[in-house]
Amino acid sequence: MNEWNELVKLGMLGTEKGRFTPELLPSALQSYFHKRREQSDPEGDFLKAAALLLAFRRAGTQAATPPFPRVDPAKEEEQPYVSFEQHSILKKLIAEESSRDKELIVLWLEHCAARGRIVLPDVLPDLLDIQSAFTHFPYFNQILGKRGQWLSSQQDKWKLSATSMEQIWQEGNTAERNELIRRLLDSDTQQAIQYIIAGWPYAHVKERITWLKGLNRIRTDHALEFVESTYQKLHQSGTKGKESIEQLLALHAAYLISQPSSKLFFDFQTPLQNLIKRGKGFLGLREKITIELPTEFDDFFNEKLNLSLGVSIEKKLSPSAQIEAWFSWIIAHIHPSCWEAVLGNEWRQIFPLFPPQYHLPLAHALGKAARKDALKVFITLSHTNDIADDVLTELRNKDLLHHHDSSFAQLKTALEILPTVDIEKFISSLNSKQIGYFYQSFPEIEGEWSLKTSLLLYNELFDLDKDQFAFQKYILKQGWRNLNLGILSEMAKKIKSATGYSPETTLVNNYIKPLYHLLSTKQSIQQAFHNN
Amino acid sequence: MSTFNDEQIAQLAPDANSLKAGRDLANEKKWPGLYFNHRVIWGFAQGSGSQPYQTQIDQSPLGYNCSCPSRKFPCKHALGLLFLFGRRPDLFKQSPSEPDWVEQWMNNREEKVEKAKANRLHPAIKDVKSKAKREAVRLDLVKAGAAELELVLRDLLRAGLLNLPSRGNGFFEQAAARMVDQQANGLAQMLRQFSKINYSDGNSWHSEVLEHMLMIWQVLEAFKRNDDLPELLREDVRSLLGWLPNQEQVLANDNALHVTDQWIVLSKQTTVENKISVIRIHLWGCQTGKPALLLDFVAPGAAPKYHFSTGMLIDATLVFFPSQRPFRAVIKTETKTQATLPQEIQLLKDWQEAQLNLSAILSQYPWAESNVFFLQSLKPVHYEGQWFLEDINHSLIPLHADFSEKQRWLFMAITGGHPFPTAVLRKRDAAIPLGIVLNDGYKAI
Repeated sequence: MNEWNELVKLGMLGTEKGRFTPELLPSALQSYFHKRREQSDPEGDFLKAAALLLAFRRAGTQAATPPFPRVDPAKEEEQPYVSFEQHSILKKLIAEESSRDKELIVLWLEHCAARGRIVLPDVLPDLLDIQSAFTHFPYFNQILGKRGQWLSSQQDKWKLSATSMEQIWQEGNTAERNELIRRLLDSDTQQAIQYIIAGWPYAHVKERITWLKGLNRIRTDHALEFVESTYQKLHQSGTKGKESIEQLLALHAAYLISQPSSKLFFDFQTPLQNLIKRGKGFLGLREKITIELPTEFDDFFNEKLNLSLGVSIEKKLSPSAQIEAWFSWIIAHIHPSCWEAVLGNEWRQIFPLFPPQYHLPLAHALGKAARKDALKVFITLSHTNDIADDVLTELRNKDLLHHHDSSFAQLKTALEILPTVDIEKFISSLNSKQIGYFYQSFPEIEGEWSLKTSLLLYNELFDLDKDQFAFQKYILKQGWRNLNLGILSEMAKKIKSATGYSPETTLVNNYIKPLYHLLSTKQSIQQAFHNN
Repeated sequence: MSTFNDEQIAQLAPDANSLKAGRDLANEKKWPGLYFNHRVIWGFAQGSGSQPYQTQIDQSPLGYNCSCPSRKFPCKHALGLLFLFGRRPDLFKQSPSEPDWVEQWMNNREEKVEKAKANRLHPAIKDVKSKAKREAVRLDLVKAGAAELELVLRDLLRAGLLNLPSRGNGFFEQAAARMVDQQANGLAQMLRQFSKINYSDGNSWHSEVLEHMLMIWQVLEAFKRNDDLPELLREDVRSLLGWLPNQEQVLANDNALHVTDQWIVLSKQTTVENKISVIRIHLWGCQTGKPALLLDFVAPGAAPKYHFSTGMLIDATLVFFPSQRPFRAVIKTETKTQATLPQEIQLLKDWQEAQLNLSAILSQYPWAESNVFFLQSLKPVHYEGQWFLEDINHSLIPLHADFSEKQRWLFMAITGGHPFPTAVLRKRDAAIPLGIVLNDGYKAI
């Protein structure tokens, strides 16, 4: 309404600079205003006229009918909706928005899809948002229903989420295909590689580089095989191919280094060597290259690098070496009586139960406990080459007290060679302080041995001291999440009873509660779908 | 026997923790005994103590009582009992007789209602003279305040409203404080609204500022002519200035408009103003097609007066505050609360009818900025980022900016682009959907 806008402009300008005249009003109001008009009062005139026009305008607002294209409404659903109970669980998971709940959402969707049900409409916007920002669930389309498909077609960011992978790959534009590959590389690497291989001959070089960039994060046999074959093809295709491969090498330097079995490693060792040595762009590349060392970096690899490229890289301890170091430290701090409680008092028979590399930290513990007789046994034992004379000399010189740097403490192996019942006895003989050494130095869970030992420790711990949060924290670390649900539930219950859910405890809030939530929700999901 | 759905019960929870705890308690294993009859639901909640807690719910008007030590209202046990009754009424044993503790509480509640009625009929004698004197003093103060405020508005207008943002919130706060001194709290509140306008959004604030200024100015002008105004308009002006009659006075006023109807709870919104929770409940009369607003001011720790959730249906007589546009009301008698809607609801046909309705309201009460309408058939439509509500004639009213993008897509998902009976709050030229009638129930958006 132009008249109103004119009055607003005048109001903004001020009556000192502009003056209201009745002509600013619509003709229907002008006469009315003339009748009401009194002596000169610019502000009063303006306010009266504006109030009149405002009422006129508000009372006469008409709904518009602009001619824009209408969207047909959603079609009727053919599949059944989820039950109220199932719906409530999903709604709660969506509302909580934690990273763990995404895992639970995946579980929920799997169950939903497996039972041929679809979600209720009120969760659709949130689900589509999560799907578009998160990953591409292969079964997502199955749970959307017609309403979900209809809704997703109305917003660009949702379109991709609700379209089948095959359809995107066949009919999508470059950006959509790249987005699909990006999501699949996280959720279904094998499928991603298959698409890349199929699309490679027809793809533009930029698209290829985008895909290879994505592959840089992936360490699977499929990815390696594909990258190797691609490099070889490029290498054989002459000068032009050489340039491309140099660029690709820059992208994949860390990847190649992490694959010591790859033939490419040797085929392209010169540029790699340059890359590593200079730590920056090579062969015309301006970008500085940062090489992130693979986590599985180990001695073998370092040796290979050293031999082939003449590069030596300072490395962190590998997980296995880290375990050795931890156990070396642990065994050096365990009181000898713990071992005696299980294995008897005869150290001449105890020592041979431990591989020689354990002997030195064991001796350290004996020294701390002033068990001179046992130490005499240690010194008189015939050790393997690992216990060199100079080490024994050192032991004597330092009165067997300082061996922290020793590398031959391997409680792991000691426990492996002992029958379970003995380990149990051993652990139960530890006091809470000794348990403390254990949990403070415990390695990440690895294999059956760790599980066995940790469970024993765990059971013991909860009878010992309710305040041993650190070990509980360890137990609840990621490695445990893949274990048997029943064991975890049992643990969570014990933790709950042991800790009483102290809200001020960071541990409880950060580990126990989320785990408990995870477990109980998983069970709720399974139960809700089991019933229906 | 009426049951409420989970969503409705959830709205009764005082906080998220209580809601969670209440949901957890909706488990038959935690209730050794569950009973109900035509007026009350009760049960024994197994708590940490040796004796189970005694929890009871008056079905209509909704009320709760529990022997647990919680100071929250309703407590988690009451919520748990409601959830369980809503989900699994078959677990509850029908019992015409009530245990003593239930009967006593129910009788006390009924006595209280009767007592309140009696008080309204026979109010205590007050010191009328002293009150009249205080009123006269206040009237003088408000008159002086209104004159002062008119000068402020005129000064602003003379200099141009374009400079308004540069004056900052302090300017309006200071002016509002002056109005409080003059006992014109209504004007103070209106002045504070200037601070809530978004001045950073291009030029869109220009029109809003002028409209708001005109609302205040019209109060001042009407007040000048107070003696010549019709009685109800005079009441309106007094209310706008800050002379609000209390609810007891309204209930005791036999001349006030009384409307008996089945009222749908269209929306319930809680805001906190100066540590006081202000609960706004919009109602729609099924037979009369009248909107109403219940306001409840709840001090920290106090229990709210109304225990309604959106979608509930209340058989009640409302008494409206005296006004040219009867809108704000209080409940005089409430006989029944239920969850299902009646077959027939008086609804507006289309936007045109709503507009005629609005025009009639504005002709009586120009300050009506927010108005509730319930239309027979509306559906959300959008085009190039613009959103509208379309009626059966394809006429469109834009969605209000307060209705967020997230809410819009949710609305779209729930309706699937199909038309539904829809309740809206019309604010200025746009509308905010409050809820729709879906599967014989009312669903809040």
